[in-house]
Amino acid sequence: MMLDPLRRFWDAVGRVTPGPMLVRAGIFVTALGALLTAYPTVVVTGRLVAALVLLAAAPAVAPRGRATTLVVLAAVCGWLLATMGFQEPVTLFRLLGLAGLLYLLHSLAALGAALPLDAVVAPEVLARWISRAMLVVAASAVPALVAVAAADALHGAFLLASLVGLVIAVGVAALLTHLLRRE
Amino acid sequence: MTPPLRPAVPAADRAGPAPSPPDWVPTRALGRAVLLTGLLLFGAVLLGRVDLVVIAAPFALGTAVALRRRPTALPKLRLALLDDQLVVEGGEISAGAQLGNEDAVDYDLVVSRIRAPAWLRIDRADRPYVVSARRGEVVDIDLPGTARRWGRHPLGPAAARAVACGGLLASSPVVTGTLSAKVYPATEPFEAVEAMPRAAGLVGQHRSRRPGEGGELAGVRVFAPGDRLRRIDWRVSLRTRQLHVAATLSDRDAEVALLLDVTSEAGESGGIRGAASVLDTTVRAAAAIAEHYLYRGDRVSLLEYGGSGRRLRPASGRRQYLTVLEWLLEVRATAHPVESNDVLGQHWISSNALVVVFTPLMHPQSAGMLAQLARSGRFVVAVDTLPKALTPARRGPWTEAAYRIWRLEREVAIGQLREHGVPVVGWAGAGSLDLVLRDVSRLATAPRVTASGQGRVGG
Repeated sequence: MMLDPLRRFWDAVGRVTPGPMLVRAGIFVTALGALLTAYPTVVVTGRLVAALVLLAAAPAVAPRGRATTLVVLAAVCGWLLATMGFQEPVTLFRLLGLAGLLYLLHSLAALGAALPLDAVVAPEVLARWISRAMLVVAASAVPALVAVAAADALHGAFLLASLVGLVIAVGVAALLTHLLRRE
Repeated sequence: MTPPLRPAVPAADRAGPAPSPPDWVPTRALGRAVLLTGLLLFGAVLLGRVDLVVIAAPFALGTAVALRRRPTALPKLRLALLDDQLVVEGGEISAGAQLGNEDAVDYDLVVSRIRAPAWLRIDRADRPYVVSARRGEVVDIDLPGTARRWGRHPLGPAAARAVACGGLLASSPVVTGTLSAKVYPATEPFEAVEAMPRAAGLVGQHRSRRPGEGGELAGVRVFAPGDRLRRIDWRVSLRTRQLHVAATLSDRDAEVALLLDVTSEAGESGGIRGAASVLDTTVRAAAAIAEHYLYRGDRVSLLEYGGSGRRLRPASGRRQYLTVLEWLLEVRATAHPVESNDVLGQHWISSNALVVVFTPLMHPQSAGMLAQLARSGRFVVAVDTLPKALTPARRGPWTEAAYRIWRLEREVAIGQLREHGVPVVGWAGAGSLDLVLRDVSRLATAPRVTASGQGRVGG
């Protein structure tokens, strides 16, 4: 009787196919990359990196749960800790890398949640999905560059962040209202 | 005073029908994207940090782009047998599903599952398939496999669930019905002597117009697979440098009635390449014998003993053979043995017909039915369909002894049937019935006395 769950587990492991496993591996890699990019060097080079690895494995194991949201929030907290607490400089490459990795994590988790582990996946499904996510990352880098450049030029990051944040917030609210009206 | 009448029809439900679930629902990814965008923007405004706006930008942009056009129609799913050929057990079968996207939006992916019956060996049929479907596109999911056993096998149901808008919206599941996949029995090679106990037609007054083994020349035609070598017309073949055969008309009009005892099933069927159960042997042997006699121009009818007592009227020709195969697909074992011999309507069987009974002789009623047929003056041949390697499940210390006693009783019943003129033979393909058919034909030429006591001459 005790062996039944174990046998079911090994049967399920034996049925796993490469496509969904590739997606799960992608989730883990992007999550770990985002956490390593976000957290301060002291944490990344210390013993706490093991906790980051464990944290990155959570959305790969359970992409349908809340683990992805928690990892993104943990990465943002790490980013704030590094830049505000440890006074690490905000470099453009690191910032864009973190933003891109977090969005890729979000997108791959959405794909991983839809794919059963034993599914036979057509290769074009993965190719289209990843190319679309990369396109979004590339497209969002342009306004990000403009915002950072404008902040440097104006020497008033606080005001600019407030304005841009408010504009985007209003835009998102308008979009959601529009979508709800179409229901 | 009579009470007031009330309407017999129940009042309409004022609440109306229960609302159906929406076709497309937001996924957890949509909630996550909106939540993260809001939190990051709030943090950016609160802390005055542009970098948080940069981090939020892909989430906001990705969500906005993905949701600019939303799907409204559910995916169309249909099960199909992609090959129109008749499938014989052991042959290839091409099952699958057709997935259509009638929406104006591309589906990022569609996860579909198809339940396949156990007797169709389909590679990776137990796994979900994930494909993408652009707008207006129909995607075929091919599931090639092998049919392992005769019968009607229910393929399906199939279910599909689509995901669109970058994984932010998912459709409610679409489920189809089942599809019956027909797999015809493989006929074992069967040849029998031409001995038929009695012809039913008036031979000599009218020439038969049906092709078959006979003496009347119908013409000369090109040799085809299945033609007998002794029918080759060597003169024409030498002249034309191509094998020709002399086609003849059948000069017999005999009827063969195949009676299938479906009161019991025994043995475990292993499919076409495995062990044969009672019904496997019954169906395959009946198909082989029907094919043989129909090819020779005889009329063949089929009846079930037990079950629903189905019957197929006697007829001849290729159409009858196809009808026989269809009829055999519906053969099922009944749960309970027949309690009365009256279940078999003997009036359905011509008195001149050669009756071939396929029976495992597991119940005394089956032996009684055979004896009853023989007593009525019909020519009866019994084909023993009980698997030779049958062993009962051990249920106690007396199982083996009880089984041996049952086998002995069965042997006694078979011996008694032989004494009553009912030969019982095991099925072994070609030539199985040669010996007994010769004996039956010899018996048919001798004067016989029927159960009613009236003497008559067979022939």
